[in-house]
Amino acid sequence: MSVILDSRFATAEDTAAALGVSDARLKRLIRVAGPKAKAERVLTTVHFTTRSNGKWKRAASSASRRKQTRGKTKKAAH
Amino acid sequence: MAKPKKPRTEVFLNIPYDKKFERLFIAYVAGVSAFGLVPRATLEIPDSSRRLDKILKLIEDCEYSIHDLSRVELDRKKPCTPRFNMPFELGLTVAQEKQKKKESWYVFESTSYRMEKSLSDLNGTDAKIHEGKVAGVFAELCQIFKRRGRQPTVRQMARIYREVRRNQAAILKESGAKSPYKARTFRDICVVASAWADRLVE
Repeated sequence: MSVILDSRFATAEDTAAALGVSDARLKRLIRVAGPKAKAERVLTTVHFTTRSNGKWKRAASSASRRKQTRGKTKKAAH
Repeated sequence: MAKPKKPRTEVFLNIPYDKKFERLFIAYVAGVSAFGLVPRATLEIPDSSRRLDKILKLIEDCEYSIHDLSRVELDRKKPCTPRFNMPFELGLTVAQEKQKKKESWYVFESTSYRMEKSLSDLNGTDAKIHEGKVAGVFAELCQIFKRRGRQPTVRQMARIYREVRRNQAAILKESGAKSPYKARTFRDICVVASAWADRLVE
């Protein structure tokens, strides 16, 4: 028999509160889980665009341009 | 006015704490977190003379419980003994919930019909068979829990599992532990899994 959950979706803060994890530790753990996800989100949104002379352009024309864009995005994410 | 939602829901994980079970342990934490639930386990309880009271309190505090009987077997260390902790805690849960007239406990096994042989008192209860696989745990959790709105997919659960595994070495290093079956490590793993679940499940 399946259960329909109607409780609040537990966030990291909720879990930390339930398990007695301190705020400082929570921040550190979120940082552990964080940077890669942030970089990936940026990569998916500006994957094929590049900025030149103040204007955004598509950079999907060649593999080398796409790689350059990825490098820039990664740097920006860090 | 919208009906206010219930506060967070906690799930008691009654699972074996051994090296061979490590992958499935992380899978349970990842899967339960993906549903926006908080995993709880006896790992949180420090060893003391009142351990049993604390286990009972923990079971009482949790809305649902998952009992994995897949490793109820003889260990290699002499004297060879079966592991009674999991069936014992399952018994405590069943007794408590019978008094409250609710049934929110689920039994997981790796092999079909083994529970009928090892624990025939539970005949008539369908064990969830995960076949000792991470994907099996996720599939069975999806059979149990449904959530309106933020329903996780098996793929999202697998992603949370992978991310927790990727961070596992760093978490262990920080707490100076060699295994994830320590109170602090368990808490850290649960928090990281929840952070990923909150980020991925929409």
